[in-house]
Amino acid sequence: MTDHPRRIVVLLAVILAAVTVLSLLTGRYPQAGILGPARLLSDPLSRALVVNLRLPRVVAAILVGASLGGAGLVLQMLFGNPLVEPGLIGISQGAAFGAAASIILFGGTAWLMQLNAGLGAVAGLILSYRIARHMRFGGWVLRLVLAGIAVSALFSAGVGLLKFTADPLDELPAITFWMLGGLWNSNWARVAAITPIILPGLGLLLALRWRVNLLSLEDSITFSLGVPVGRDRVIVLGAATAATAAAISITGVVNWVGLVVPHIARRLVGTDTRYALPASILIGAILTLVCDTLARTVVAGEIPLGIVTALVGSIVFIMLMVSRGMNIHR
Amino acid sequence: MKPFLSVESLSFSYPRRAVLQEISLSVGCGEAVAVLGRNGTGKTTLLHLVLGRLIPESGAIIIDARPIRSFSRRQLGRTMSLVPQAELVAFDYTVLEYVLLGRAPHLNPTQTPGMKDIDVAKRALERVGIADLANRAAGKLSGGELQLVLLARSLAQEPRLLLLDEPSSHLDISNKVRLLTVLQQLKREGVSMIFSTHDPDFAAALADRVALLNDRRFLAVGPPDQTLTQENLSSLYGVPVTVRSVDGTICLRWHPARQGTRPAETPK
Repeated sequence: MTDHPRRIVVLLAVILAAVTVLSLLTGRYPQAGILGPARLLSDPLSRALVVNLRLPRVVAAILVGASLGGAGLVLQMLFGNPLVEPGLIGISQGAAFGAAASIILFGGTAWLMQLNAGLGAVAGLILSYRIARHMRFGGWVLRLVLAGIAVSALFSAGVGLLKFTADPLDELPAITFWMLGGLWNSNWARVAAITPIILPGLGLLLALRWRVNLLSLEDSITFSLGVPVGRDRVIVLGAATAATAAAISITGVVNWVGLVVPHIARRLVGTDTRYALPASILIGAILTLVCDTLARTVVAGEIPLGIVTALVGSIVFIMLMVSRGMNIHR
Repeated sequence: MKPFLSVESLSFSYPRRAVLQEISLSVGCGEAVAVLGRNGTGKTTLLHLVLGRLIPESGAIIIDARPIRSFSRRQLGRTMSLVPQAELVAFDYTVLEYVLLGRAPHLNPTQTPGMKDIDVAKRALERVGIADLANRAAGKLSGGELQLVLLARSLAQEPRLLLLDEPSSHLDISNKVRLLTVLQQLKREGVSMIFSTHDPDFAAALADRVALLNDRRFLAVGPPDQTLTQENLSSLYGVPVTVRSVDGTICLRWHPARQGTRPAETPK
């Protein structure tokens, strides 16, 4: 019984490794389809292409997916609400506003956009958190969700205003593309920029994976179990937000991964976050990698990743909702 | 005997309402104290104050001769545990996983529960008599079953003081007897307890002393047979109550007040 979830987590890691190899070999060189290992050994150009173009993109997809999946699960547990995702508490819209503002103010400089998107994400969360703290009614979950909706709307309005003032030939397309989400700009420099935030963030969450369970209980109970509720909540929320902000800063808005992946993870390994968190991180990475591989290979151009994840994510979510075993108690 | 817990002239108010005013109460090792009072008089507030979750306006809470503020959170988690009346289980935990959460104060932040912890959790389930529920979904239990699961989770904490919020409110008679047996056994092992209840029979059966909370103060504190009297209970609840002793246990009768007439006289 206790061995079963562990085996599934190992299996997911194996699947991720297999998908990674497959994705590296899939593309449109020398023709659409899969690059044979023999060709890879004999053709230096194909090696260069895999190492310098496909590999950083694959690594970025894995890091982004792992962050969104892990953060999605942690947020759902923390808010005791299986319908929460980073977009719901101001993180995504904050990042979008940061990126849009950066495009208008500083042009399309990549690292400035990343920085501002990351700052926007953190600002969105802090603002939601502070407003929730000062609200005079309702329980903690309700307050945070309401504050998140209001803050998201505030940032959306800001993005709208920026779009309205943007140069329609240059800035507006940049903002629009960013809002659709994608990994076509991935390179080793970008991977290097987000890795030092995402790996420690996810590492911390994995180290505390069983503790995350405790934060899903009512405050007085968590308190009675000897947990400093406020401190633990800030640590876990901070790690999840940092990883998400870093991920969003290079992809733009990628929705649905954070919502759907934890549901799949819980279905496979059970609710206990000891297994559900690693599973969620792995499934997030697998799903994002598969979606991104589809995004860059299905048609000759490129479909924005955010569109593919929304398509796949919403279909999976509908399937989960109508199948047996989805239980939401509030 | 030195008390294990002592509450000294404790006062507490919510923003627009004073709840407790200079209340004092002590609980010895292995002693059970029942708190009775009308809905909303502050029984749960008192439990949350002792837990340390609410901070009193004035007064002190001393556990084991140390002020509660000098304990770390984790130490307090190993010292006492709150058994809530009900709880919303938002996710599909199994009962065993849920009870295992009670091991938290015994584990480091990065530790996950091991075989020993699983043993403790299983023993807690057996003790409460619900070992057969171990693999059921905690969110789909009946109110009474969940109440027993919550007690088992608190037992997995191995506390020396239990704070029980209306522990028998959702239980049928057989489970009430089972709960009583478990709690009496814990008392003999030296576990102290404070429990709030609306059930004077249950209070009389378990408590060594009863505290009647009325309008911010204790109306009376003492052994059940001296406190659970007709006069006290009638004035506590504001309706006439008759108390009879049947085969050594206390039995209550209450009388609905009729419109326009005096409430039925209490028999002499």
